[in-house]
Amino acid sequence: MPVPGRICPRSGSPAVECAATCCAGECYAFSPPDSLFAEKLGFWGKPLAYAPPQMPPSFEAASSFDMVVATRNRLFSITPETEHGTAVRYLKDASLMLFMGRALQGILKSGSKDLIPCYEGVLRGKVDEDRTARLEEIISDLRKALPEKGSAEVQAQRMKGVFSLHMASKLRECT
Amino acid sequence: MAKSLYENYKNFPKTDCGYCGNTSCITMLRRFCSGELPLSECIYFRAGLYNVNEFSCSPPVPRGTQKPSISYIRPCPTDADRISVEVSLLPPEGSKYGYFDMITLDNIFNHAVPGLRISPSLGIARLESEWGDVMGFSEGRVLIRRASNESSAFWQLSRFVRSLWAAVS
Repeated sequence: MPVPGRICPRSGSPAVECAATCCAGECYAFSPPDSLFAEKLGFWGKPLAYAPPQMPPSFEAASSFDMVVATRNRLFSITPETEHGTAVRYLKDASLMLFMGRALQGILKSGSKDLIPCYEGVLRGKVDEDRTARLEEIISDLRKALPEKGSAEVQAQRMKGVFSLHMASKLRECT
Repeated sequence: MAKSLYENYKNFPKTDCGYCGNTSCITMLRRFCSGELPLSECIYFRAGLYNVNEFSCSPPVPRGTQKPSISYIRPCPTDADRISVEVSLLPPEGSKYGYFDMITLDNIFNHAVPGLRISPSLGIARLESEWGDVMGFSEGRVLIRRASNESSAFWQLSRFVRSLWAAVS
């Protein structure tokens, strides 16, 4: 069970982003905000079962899929009747969609076609620790390269694609 | 002159690229404002596309001795048949910027949810519905008005804060 009041070293990130930075169950991000008055809520019917999110099957399909709307809908799936474990899964789903949406934007704007197989791997839910390690290497290389005025925007967009994929890949490992 | 977090954010790159190691530009900006990180960690500042001197913000105000509480349950001032409830949620230990990150909320919901209005500059979110009006403040205070009874009020509160869960920081 999460420990209310504990905070991870990544403090400052909102829960939907912090959920991707570690798998620690005690992270503040996984503590329901209504725990203060949980005993006043009573019983509101039978708990709703977890329903997996509808994700696009490929990079091409993702290009015409509105991840922002999907993220929003996932967050609104968390109701007072949602059990804690299911609510945390919905929050992680929303986090995944948020980072997949950002990754898509970064890949398209920087023209980083080399990241497409990686993107599709994360979309399919395949857990691959080598992929996460490869992404970390690319992130490290991008940070070592000195940005110049003329190329910084493209570099930032590629970084956005890689970094967001890395976050999404880590989320797949945690769920 | 020091600007608010939101005023600084409006002029920030907002790419959320992760070059600085933070999950978003708003997190980077928060860390800059609290003195944890220099803006030179950001690729845009490092490349000279943005000027460090154009950004300055007040350090975060300490949270003080705020405690989680249900402040009151009483008849609504404008309708004696209905009730008002106010609760104060507890920000995580060490959190410097209150409970709800209204800038992130605004980015995610972006006027797309009927009845939900968010003001990142004022740090307020408001949800209007037929069951009652709920207002949430960035520091963690949540207020419901015109609820038909106590159990309905707490259900609405729960619905509201769970919808905003993503922005707990």
